[in-house]
Amino acid sequence: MTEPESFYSKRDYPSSTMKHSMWSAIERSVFPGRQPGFFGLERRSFVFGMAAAIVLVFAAVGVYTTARNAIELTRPQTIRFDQAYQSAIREFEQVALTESQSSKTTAQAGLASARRDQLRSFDVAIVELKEGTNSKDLSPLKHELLRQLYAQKLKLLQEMIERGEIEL
Amino acid sequence: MDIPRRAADETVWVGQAKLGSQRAFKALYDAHVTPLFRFLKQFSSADSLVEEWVQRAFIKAFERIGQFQGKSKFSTWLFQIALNEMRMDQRRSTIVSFEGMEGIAECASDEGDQFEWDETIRSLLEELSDAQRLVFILYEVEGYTHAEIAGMLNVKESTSRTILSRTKQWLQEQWKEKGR
Repeated sequence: MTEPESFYSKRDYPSSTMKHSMWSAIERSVFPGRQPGFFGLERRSFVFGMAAAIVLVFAAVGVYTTARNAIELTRPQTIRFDQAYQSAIREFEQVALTESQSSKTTAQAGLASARRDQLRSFDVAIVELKEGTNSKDLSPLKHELLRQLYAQKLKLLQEMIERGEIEL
Repeated sequence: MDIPRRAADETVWVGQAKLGSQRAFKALYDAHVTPLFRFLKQFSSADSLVEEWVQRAFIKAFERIGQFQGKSKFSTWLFQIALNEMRMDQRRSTIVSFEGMEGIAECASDEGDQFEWDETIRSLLEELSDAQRLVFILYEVEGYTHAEIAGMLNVKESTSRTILSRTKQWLQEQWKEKGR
Protein backbone atom coordinates (compact mmCIF):
# COMPACT_ATOMS: atom_id res chain seq x y z
CA MET A 1 0.00 0.00 0.00
CA THR A 2 1.16 3.52 -0.76
CA GLU A 3 1.00 6.26 1.84
CA PRO A 4 -1.60 8.90 0.82
CA GLU A 5 0.86 11.68 1.66
CA SER A 6 3.36 10.40 -0.88
CA PHE A 7 0.74 9.69 -3.51
CA TYR A 8 -1.19 12.94 -3.54
CA SER A 9 0.51 16.12 -4.66
CA LYS A 10 0.11 19.58 -3.15
CA ARG A 11 -2.37 20.68 -5.81
CA ASP A 12 -4.70 17.82 -4.86
CA TYR A 13 -5.40 19.38 -1.46
CA PRO A 14 -8.12 21.96 -0.84
CA SER A 15 -7.04 25.37 0.44
CA SER A 16 -8.49 26.67 3.71
CA THR A 17 -10.54 29.19 1.72
CA MET A 18 -12.03 26.39 -0.36
CA LYS A 19 -12.82 24.39 2.75
CA HIS A 20 -14.49 27.40 4.33
CA SER A 21 -16.57 28.22 1.26
CA MET A 22 -17.63 24.57 0.85
CA TRP A 23 -18.72 24.42 4.50
CA SER A 24 -20.67 27.65 4.11
CA ALA A 25 -22.56 26.19 1.15
CA ILE A 26 -23.23 22.93 3.02
CA GLU A 27 -24.35 24.82 6.12
CA ARG A 28 -26.76 26.98 4.09
CA SER A 29 -28.24 23.87 2.52
CA VAL A 30 -28.45 21.61 5.58
CA PHE A 31 -29.33 24.25 8.20
CA PRO A 32 -31.29 26.88 6.28
CA GLY A 33 -33.13 28.22 9.32
CA ARG A 34 -30.17 28.13 11.64
CA GLN A 35 -27.85 30.71 10.17
CA PRO A 36 -26.20 32.47 13.09
CA GLY A 37 -27.22 36.10 13.44
CA PHE A 38 -24.82 38.99 13.54
CA PHE A 39 -24.50 38.79 17.32
CA GLY A 40 -24.05 35.03 17.20
CA LEU A 41 -21.31 35.29 14.63
CA GLU A 42 -19.55 38.11 16.37
CA ARG A 43 -20.22 37.15 19.97
CA ARG A 44 -16.59 36.58 20.80
CA SER A 45 -15.48 39.76 19.06
CA PHE A 46 -18.25 41.67 20.84
CA VAL A 47 -17.12 40.42 24.27
CA PHE A 48 -13.48 41.18 23.51
CA GLY A 49 -14.46 44.61 22.20
CA MET A 50 -16.46 45.43 25.33
CA ALA A 51 -13.61 44.26 27.58
CA ALA A 52 -11.14 46.34 25.58
CA ALA A 53 -13.42 49.40 25.83
CA ILE A 54 -13.69 49.05 29.62
CA VAL A 55 -9.94 48.69 29.95
CA LEU A 56 -9.51 51.73 27.70
CA VAL A 57 -11.88 53.83 29.84
CA PHE A 58 -10.01 52.89 33.03
CA ALA A 59 -6.70 53.64 31.35
CA ALA A 60 -7.99 57.01 30.14
CA VAL A 61 -9.25 57.93 33.63
CA GLY A 62 -5.88 56.89 35.08
CA VAL A 63 -3.96 58.96 32.54
CA TYR A 64 -6.24 61.98 33.11
CA THR A 65 -5.90 61.78 36.92
CA THR A 66 -2.15 61.39 36.75
CA ALA A 67 -1.82 64.28 34.32
CA ARG A 68 -4.08 66.52 36.45
CA ASN A 69 -2.10 65.73 39.59
CA ALA A 70 1.16 66.37 37.77
CA ILE A 71 -0.10 69.75 36.51
CA GLU A 72 -1.37 70.59 40.00
CA LEU A 73 2.02 69.86 41.51
CA THR A 74 3.83 72.05 39.01
CA ARG A 75 1.75 75.14 39.93
CA PRO A 76 3.34 77.76 42.20
CA GLN A 77 2.46 77.53 45.85
CA THR A 78 0.76 80.94 45.83
CA ILE A 79 -1.69 79.81 43.17
CA ARG A 80 -2.41 76.66 45.14
CA PHE A 81 -3.09 78.76 48.27
CA ASP A 82 -5.46 80.93 46.29
CA GLN A 83 -7.33 77.95 44.95
CA ALA A 84 -7.48 76.33 48.40
CA TYR A 85 -9.06 79.50 49.87
CA GLN A 86 -11.57 79.75 47.05
CA SER A 87 -12.46 76.12 47.40
CA ALA A 88 -12.84 76.39 51.20
CA ILE A 89 -15.12 79.44 50.93
CA ARG A 90 -17.21 77.84 48.17
CA GLU A 91 -17.70 74.68 50.24
CA PHE A 92 -18.48 76.74 53.34
CA GLU A 93 -21.11 78.78 51.50
CA GLN A 94 -22.68 75.70 50.03
CA VAL A 95 -23.34 74.08 53.41
CA ALA A 96 -24.05 77.23 55.48
CA LEU A 97 -26.19 79.50 53.35
CA THR A 98 -29.47 79.00 55.15
CA GLU A 99 -30.05 81.87 57.48
CA SER A 100 -31.59 81.13 60.84
CA GLN A 101 -35.22 82.22 60.88
CA SER A 102 -35.84 81.51 64.55
CA SER A 103 -36.25 84.21 67.21
CA LYS A 104 -35.00 87.12 65.12
CA THR A 105 -35.30 90.52 66.77
CA THR A 106 -35.11 93.74 64.78
CA ALA A 107 -31.57 94.34 66.01
CA GLN A 108 -30.50 90.84 65.05
CA ALA A 109 -32.06 91.18 61.62
CA GLY A 110 -30.23 94.45 61.09
CA LEU A 111 -26.92 92.89 62.12
CA ALA A 112 -27.44 89.93 59.82
CA SER A 113 -28.22 92.30 56.95
CA ALA A 114 -25.03 94.26 57.68
CA ARG A 115 -22.98 91.06 57.68
CA ARG A 116 -24.50 89.98 54.36
CA ASP A 117 -23.51 93.36 52.94
CA GLN A 118 -20.00 92.78 54.27
CA LEU A 119 -19.86 89.39 52.59
CA ARG A 120 -20.97 90.91 49.30
CA SER A 121 -18.29 93.61 49.71
CA PHE A 122 -15.63 90.93 50.18
CA ASP A 123 -16.88 89.15 47.05
CA VAL A 124 -16.77 92.36 45.01
CA ALA A 125 -13.29 93.20 46.32
CA ILE A 126 -12.00 89.72 45.47
CA VAL A 127 -13.49 89.79 41.99
CA GLU A 128 -12.10 93.27 41.31
CA LEU A 129 -8.64 92.24 42.47
CA LYS A 130 -8.67 89.19 40.27
CA GLU A 131 -10.17 90.91 37.24
CA GLY A 132 -7.67 91.70 34.56
CA THR A 133 -5.05 89.62 36.34
CA ASN A 134 -3.96 86.22 35.17
CA SER A 135 -4.74 83.83 38.02
CA LYS A 136 -1.40 82.12 37.47
CA ASP A 137 0.53 85.35 37.55
CA LEU A 138 -0.39 87.25 40.72
CA SER A 139 2.13 89.71 42.14
CA PRO A 140 3.22 89.11 45.77
CA LEU A 141 1.37 92.26 46.87
CA LYS A 142 -1.86 91.33 45.13
CA HIS A 143 -1.52 87.81 46.43
CA GLU A 144 -1.12 89.01 50.03
CA LEU A 145 -4.16 91.29 49.66
CA LEU A 146 -6.24 88.50 48.16
CA ARG A 147 -5.24 86.16 50.97
CA GLN A 148 -6.31 88.75 53.54
CA LEU A 149 -9.69 89.18 51.84
CA TYR A 150 -10.21 85.42 51.86
CA ALA A 151 -9.21 85.18 55.52
CA GLN A 152 -11.57 88.02 56.51
CA LYS A 153 -14.44 86.52 54.58
CA LEU A 154 -13.86 83.16 56.25
CA LYS A 155 -13.64 84.84 59.64
CA LEU A 156 -16.93 86.64 59.03
CA LEU A 157 -18.62 83.42 58.00
CA GLN A 158 -17.26 81.74 61.13
CA GLU A 159 -18.64 84.53 63.34
CA MET A 160 -22.05 84.30 61.67
CA ILE A 161 -22.15 80.57 62.37
CA GLU A 162 -21.04 81.02 65.97
CA ARG A 163 -23.76 83.63 66.54
CA GLY A 164 -26.36 81.40 64.97
CA GLU A 165 -27.04 83.83 62.12
CA ILE A 166 -26.65 81.03 59.60
CA GLU A 167 -27.40 77.37 60.14
CA LEU A 168 -25.21 74.49 59.21
CA MET B 1 -10.22 -3.99 23.27
CA ASP B 2 -8.94 -0.45 22.84
CA ILE B 3 -10.89 1.67 20.41
CA PRO B 4 -8.80 4.27 18.62
CA ARG B 5 -9.57 7.69 20.02
CA ARG B 6 -10.50 9.11 16.63
CA ALA B 7 -12.89 6.27 15.87
CA ALA B 8 -14.50 6.70 19.27
CA ASP B 9 -14.80 10.43 18.67
CA GLU B 10 -16.34 9.77 15.28
CA THR B 11 -18.96 7.48 16.78
CA VAL B 12 -19.87 10.27 19.21
CA TRP B 13 -19.99 12.85 16.42
CA VAL B 14 -22.23 10.64 14.29
CA GLY B 15 -24.53 10.08 17.26
CA GLN B 16 -24.74 13.80 17.93
CA ALA B 17 -25.20 14.58 14.24
CA LYS B 18 -28.19 12.24 14.20
CA LEU B 19 -29.65 14.41 16.96
CA GLY B 20 -29.11 17.48 14.75
CA SER B 21 -25.95 18.91 16.29
CA GLN B 22 -24.44 21.40 13.88
CA ARG B 23 -21.16 21.22 15.77
CA ALA B 24 -20.98 17.45 15.21
CA PHE B 25 -21.61 17.93 11.49
CA LYS B 26 -18.77 20.44 11.39
CA ALA B 27 -16.45 18.01 13.20
CA LEU B 28 -17.27 15.28 10.68
CA TYR B 29 -16.76 17.72 7.83
CA ASP B 30 -13.37 18.84 9.17
CA ALA B 31 -12.24 15.23 9.59
CA HIS B 32 -13.22 14.05 6.11
CA VAL B 33 -13.16 17.00 3.71
CA THR B 34 -9.47 16.76 2.85
CA PRO B 35 -9.32 12.98 2.17
CA LEU B 36 -12.49 13.20 0.09
CA PHE B 37 -11.36 16.24 -1.88
CA ARG B 38 -7.90 14.90 -2.73
CA PHE B 39 -9.42 11.59 -3.80
CA LEU B 40 -12.04 13.17 -6.07
CA LYS B 41 -9.41 15.52 -7.46
CA GLN B 42 -7.93 12.48 -9.24
CA PHE B 43 -10.97 12.49 -11.52
CA SER B 44 -11.14 16.13 -12.50
CA SER B 45 -8.62 18.90 -12.90
CA ALA B 46 -11.34 21.51 -12.29
CA ASP B 47 -11.38 22.55 -8.65
CA SER B 48 -14.89 23.98 -8.95
CA LEU B 49 -16.28 20.63 -10.12
CA VAL B 50 -14.54 18.74 -7.32
CA GLU B 51 -15.84 21.30 -4.81
CA GLU B 52 -19.35 20.68 -6.08
CA TRP B 53 -19.03 16.90 -5.71
CA VAL B 54 -17.71 17.33 -2.19
CA GLN B 55 -20.53 19.70 -1.23
CA ARG B 56 -23.19 17.45 -2.70
CA ALA B 57 -21.70 14.41 -0.95
CA PHE B 58 -21.70 16.10 2.46
CA ILE B 59 -25.17 17.56 1.99
CA LYS B 60 -26.60 14.14 1.09
CA ALA B 61 -24.68 12.45 3.90
CA PHE B 62 -25.99 14.95 6.47
CA GLU B 63 -29.52 14.75 5.13
CA ARG B 64 -29.42 10.94 5.32
CA ILE B 65 -27.39 10.63 8.51
CA GLY B 66 -30.33 8.87 10.14
CA GLN B 67 -29.93 6.01 7.67
CA PHE B 68 -26.28 5.46 8.55
CA GLN B 69 -26.23 2.21 10.53
CA GLY B 70 -22.60 2.33 11.62
CA LYS B 71 -21.87 -1.06 10.07
CA SER B 72 -19.12 0.51 7.98
CA LYS B 73 -16.81 3.44 8.67
CA PHE B 74 -18.35 6.87 8.15
CA SER B 75 -15.67 7.60 5.54
CA THR B 76 -16.65 4.49 3.53
CA TRP B 77 -20.26 5.60 3.52
CA LEU B 78 -19.30 9.17 2.61
CA PHE B 79 -17.02 8.03 -0.23
CA GLN B 80 -19.83 5.87 -1.57
CA ILE B 81 -22.18 8.87 -1.69
CA ALA B 82 -19.47 11.03 -3.26
CA LEU B 83 -18.72 8.43 -5.93
CA ASN B 84 -22.40 8.19 -6.79
CA GLU B 85 -22.56 11.97 -7.12
CA MET B 86 -19.52 11.97 -9.36
CA ARG B 87 -20.78 9.11 -11.50
CA MET B 88 -24.20 10.72 -11.89
CA ASP B 89 -22.72 14.00 -13.00
CA GLN B 90 -23.88 14.46 -16.55
CA ARG B 91 -21.30 17.14 -17.17
CA ARG B 92 -18.49 14.64 -16.91
CA SER B 93 -17.33 13.64 -20.35
CA THR B 94 -16.71 10.05 -19.30
CA ILE B 95 -19.03 8.58 -16.73
CA VAL B 96 -17.35 5.93 -14.62
CA SER B 97 -18.88 2.66 -15.65
CA PHE B 98 -18.32 -0.89 -14.58
CA GLU B 99 -20.49 -2.35 -17.28
CA GLY B 100 -18.84 -5.31 -18.91
CA MET B 101 -16.53 -5.84 -15.97
CA GLU B 102 -18.95 -7.81 -13.85
CA GLY B 103 -18.58 -10.97 -15.86
CA ILE B 104 -14.83 -11.08 -16.11
CA ALA B 105 -13.00 -14.04 -14.69
CA GLU B 106 -11.53 -13.66 -11.27
CA CYS B 107 -7.77 -13.52 -11.20
CA ALA B 108 -5.45 -14.85 -8.59
CA SER B 109 -5.40 -13.03 -5.28
CA ASP B 110 -3.31 -9.89 -5.26
CA GLU B 111 -3.04 -9.56 -1.48
CA GLY B 112 0.58 -10.71 -1.33
CA ASP B 113 1.60 -8.88 -4.45
CA GLN B 114 3.52 -5.87 -3.19
CA PHE B 115 3.27 -2.99 -5.56
CA GLU B 116 6.43 -1.09 -6.34
CA TRP B 117 5.61 2.58 -6.31
CA ASP B 118 7.42 5.39 -8.08
CA GLU B 119 6.74 8.53 -10.11
CA THR B 120 6.59 6.58 -13.37
CA ILE B 121 3.61 4.66 -12.09
CA ARG B 122 2.01 7.95 -10.97
CA SER B 123 2.13 9.23 -14.55
CA LEU B 124 0.88 5.90 -15.91
CA LEU B 125 -2.26 6.24 -13.79
CA GLU B 126 -3.43 8.99 -16.14
CA GLU B 127 -3.73 6.35 -18.87
CA LEU B 128 -6.06 4.14 -16.85
CA SER B 129 -9.83 4.21 -17.14
CA ASP B 130 -11.73 5.94 -14.34
CA ALA B 131 -12.98 2.58 -13.06
CA GLN B 132 -9.46 1.17 -12.88
CA ARG B 133 -8.10 4.30 -11.28
CA LEU B 134 -10.92 4.29 -8.71
CA VAL B 135 -10.26 0.77 -7.58
CA PHE B 136 -6.52 1.22 -7.63
CA ILE B 137 -6.51 4.41 -5.51
CA LEU B 138 -9.17 3.17 -3.11
CA TYR B 139 -7.23 -0.02 -2.47
CA GLU B 140 -3.60 1.01 -2.81
CA VAL B 141 -3.73 4.57 -1.48
CA GLU B 142 -6.81 4.95 0.70
CA GLY B 143 -6.46 1.47 2.17
CA TYR B 144 -10.02 0.23 1.69
CA THR B 145 -10.64 -3.51 1.47
CA HIS B 146 -12.19 -5.14 -1.58
CA ALA B 147 -15.37 -5.69 0.39
CA GLU B 148 -15.56 -1.96 1.17
CA ILE B 149 -14.75 -1.00 -2.42
CA ALA B 150 -17.37 -3.39 -3.72
CA GLY B 151 -19.91 -1.77 -1.38
CA MET B 152 -18.95 1.72 -2.48
CA LEU B 153 -19.06 0.97 -6.19
CA ASN B 154 -21.98 -1.42 -6.03
CA VAL B 155 -20.08 -4.22 -7.72
CA LYS B 156 -19.09 -7.72 -6.64
CA GLU B 157 -16.03 -8.08 -4.46
CA SER B 158 -14.51 -10.38 -7.07
CA THR B 159 -14.89 -7.63 -9.67
CA SER B 160 -12.91 -5.25 -7.50
CA ARG B 161 -10.17 -7.87 -7.06
CA THR B 162 -10.02 -8.57 -10.76
CA ILE B 163 -9.90 -4.91 -11.76
CA LEU B 164 -7.10 -4.26 -9.31
CA SER B 165 -5.15 -7.33 -10.35
CA ARG B 166 -5.35 -6.49 -14.05
CA THR B 167 -4.55 -2.85 -13.39
CA LYS B 168 -1.44 -3.73 -11.44
CA GLN B 169 -0.40 -6.25 -14.07
CA TRP B 170 -0.76 -3.63 -16.77
CA LEU B 171 1.09 -1.02 -14.72
CA GLN B 172 3.97 -3.38 -14.05
CA GLU B 173 4.28 -4.22 -17.74
CA GLN B 174 4.28 -0.55 -18.63
CA TRP B 175 6.74 0.23 -15.86
CA LYS B 176 9.13 -2.47 -17.11
CA GLU B 177 8.85 -1.19 -20.67
CA LYS B 178 9.59 2.37 -19.63
CA GLY B 179 12.44 1.16 -17.46
CA ARG B 180 14.21 -0.45 -20.36
